[in-house]
Amino acid sequence: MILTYIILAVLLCAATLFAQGSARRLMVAGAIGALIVFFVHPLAQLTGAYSRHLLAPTPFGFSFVEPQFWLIFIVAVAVLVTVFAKEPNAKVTGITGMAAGFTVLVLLWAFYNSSQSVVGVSSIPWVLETLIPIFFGAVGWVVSRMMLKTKQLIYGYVISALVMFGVGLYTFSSAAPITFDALRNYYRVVVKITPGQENLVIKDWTADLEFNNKERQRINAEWVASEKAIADAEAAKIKAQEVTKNSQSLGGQTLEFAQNAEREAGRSVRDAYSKREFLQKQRIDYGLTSATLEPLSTISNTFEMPKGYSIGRDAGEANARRVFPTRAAYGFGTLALFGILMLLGGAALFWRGMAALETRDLASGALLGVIIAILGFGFNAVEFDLGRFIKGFPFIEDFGRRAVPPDWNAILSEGLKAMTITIATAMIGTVLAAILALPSSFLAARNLTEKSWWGRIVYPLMRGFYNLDRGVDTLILALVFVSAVGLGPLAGVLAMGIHSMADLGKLYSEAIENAERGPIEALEASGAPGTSIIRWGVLPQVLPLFVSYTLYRFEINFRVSIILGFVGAGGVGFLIQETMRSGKYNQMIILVGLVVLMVNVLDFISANVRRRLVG
Amino acid sequence: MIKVENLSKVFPDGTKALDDVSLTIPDGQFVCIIGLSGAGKSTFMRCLNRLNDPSAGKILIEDQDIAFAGGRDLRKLRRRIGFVFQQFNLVERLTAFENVLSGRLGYYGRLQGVLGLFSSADKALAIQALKRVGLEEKIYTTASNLSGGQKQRVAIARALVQEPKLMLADEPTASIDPKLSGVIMDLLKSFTKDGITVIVNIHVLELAREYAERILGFNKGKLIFDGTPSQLTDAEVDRIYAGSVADL
Repeated sequence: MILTYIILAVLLCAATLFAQGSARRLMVAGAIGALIVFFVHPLAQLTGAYSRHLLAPTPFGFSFVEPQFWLIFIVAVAVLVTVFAKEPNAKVTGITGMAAGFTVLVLLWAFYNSSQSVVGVSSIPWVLETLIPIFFGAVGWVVSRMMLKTKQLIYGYVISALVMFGVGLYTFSSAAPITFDALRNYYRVVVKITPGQENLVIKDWTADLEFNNKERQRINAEWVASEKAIADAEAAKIKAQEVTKNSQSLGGQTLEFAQNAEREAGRSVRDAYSKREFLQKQRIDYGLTSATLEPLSTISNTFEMPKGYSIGRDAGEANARRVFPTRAAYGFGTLALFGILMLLGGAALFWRGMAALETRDLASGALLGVIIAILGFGFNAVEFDLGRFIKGFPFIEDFGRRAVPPDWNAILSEGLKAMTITIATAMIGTVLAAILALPSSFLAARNLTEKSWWGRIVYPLMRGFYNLDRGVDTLILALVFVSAVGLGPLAGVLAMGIHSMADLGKLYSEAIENAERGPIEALEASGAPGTSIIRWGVLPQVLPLFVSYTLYRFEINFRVSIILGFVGAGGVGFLIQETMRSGKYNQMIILVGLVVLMVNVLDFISANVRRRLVG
Repeated sequence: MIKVENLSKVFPDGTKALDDVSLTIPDGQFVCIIGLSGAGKSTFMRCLNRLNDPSAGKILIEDQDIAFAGGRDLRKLRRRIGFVFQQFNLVERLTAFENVLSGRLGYYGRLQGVLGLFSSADKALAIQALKRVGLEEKIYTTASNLSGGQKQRVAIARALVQEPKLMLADEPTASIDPKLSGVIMDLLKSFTKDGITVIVNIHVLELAREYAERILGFNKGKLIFDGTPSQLTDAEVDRIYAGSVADL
């Protein structure tokens, strides 16, 4: 997990330095990023008795008992000061960067190897309650700046301020923690444990002592047994392999049974190993390397609780926690990343010197820092883990092995039949969307609606509907329609029609808005009524674009309709799911190939037609 | 007869594009308007068929005030006013014939217009108009395949099928080959024989002198010259074109 961040940092530095990019930018990114992490990213986990006691404070949160963490703040600021200095000196800035990066990395290393102390938690009040309204106000401010003309800006600001105030009223109200329970006491920090909490920890420990010792015995016994289980499973596997070899000549059902048995034996071996792995983890967590557990003596602040044991229920409820420095949260990784940026950026600056003073570096460096901080959060949120992928790779290999040789005869005709359903779904869904979008797009075009009072009312309504509809994906609509019209292509077609209508309508109306004004004006000047102007002045201009957009949408909808098959709309997607479920990978591979072929053929045709229409 | 009384136009930013313009134009007269760009020539012309809305004043066409008409009344008045644009404003993907025919749309209701149910008489009228502008060869050619001069003649034919009383042409020769200017001007002038009043905005002084029966000179929104070409002395021309372009 942390490895991902370190690789990311080194790659970033290597790319920048190799391309002769700005080392100062790296340093600024590292410093700004470190400051963000210091206050925002969680560093390491604290555990209580329940999962709801789990907590991961920020470096700032830890700094009340680990004051050395303030160094992160200080060195980051020092880097910024030397970089932003009036007459920056490459040597001084470089040394500062290196020192800062080194400090951060050493701090992390020391923390990782520190003891699993027991601490208390306390909260800094009103953090989210204040930040959320400010966020809303800031969004309003940015939107106003982007959308409004100078004269209207004041209204934007007033509305933003009102929204900020309104949201603030809510977050500070007593109703807020009911609808949004994470709101109160969100930002929690680590503090010294009180004697009262300490007593509770000891009391809980003594109460659980007997149970814990029994648990240890059980795990130890299982651990010993697991060794034998592995040996047995291995032996069974070898035996099954022999049986398969012998029945090779017999063939037919006998061979099939033997192969199945062998597969089963292989699975048992894998299970036995993973069980042992799990037990090993537990042994470490429960400190099984030491002798039996003893009652804790009341030694102030130095708990001799073995590694891996968490505190008990009453202590947890009383806000005592155990710190697990080795259970790093993503802030550990991001902080390491930013430390490396400062270290390598500083080193590069020191030895390479400052090529030229680029003021742009500072803004882009800060932006880079913010982006990496957000990405760091994202990598964690998606549980990005290269190790897990590498560990699981044999399964993908196995998948590929079982997919060859492809079984043409069993599936090809059925697959082609399903393919026609998939194409038809995309076709009819798109046509339906076009039929719905064609008339409505004229109501969503500003240039056609702004002249009459009813147009000015219809325009925002139509636009609003499009935006709403665009947000509800075809898949979601399909599930709704399945409940209305039952499983089958009809639900898919309806969903596709309704969803694509919004996308097409938006594209159509933009084409109308970009239509040449001249011919429209000419027909207006001849006294033609509005509908006739649209038919003879607008439609001929936009029709080729409409067709082009519709074809493009059809390309997309073809791919969507495959996925629709997975939720029961039939077609090739459904077939892929079925073959996959029954483990017929050698048939599935044919279907996937068919889809790849069809996607490319349709794209090729549609792209050519479109080029001719608009090109 | 067209009678303009105290016509003024002030743009939202405060620019006075037309300042108290009054004049009378009898039927069948060929009038040229000259002046610097920004002097109010185009605005005046566009006010006459209400592509621009005037701020104050009256525009009487056959004793009907168009200045503040709206809706159906405005459309009815507009269909008797042809307008020829500098940029032709044809629908490029339609044929010459369809472009010309679309000039008749003012005489059809919404449904007929949308469905394109043109009467055979109107189709004949369109073909006749195309013949008159010398494009009988190009009737079914798409507008995008026509040259600039041909496009402008299609646009004139489109104005002609409106059976207008008044034909307005805003710089009709500015976007085409200078050699063809004469053809266009001759064509426009020929309409006066049918009793159509023709008003042409033009920035080529020689063409105005050559063709106009009457010349109007605008400067900073004011009508400061109104007379025959022979009355347009060099001193008058200097007065009309007074003021640097930067002022405008």
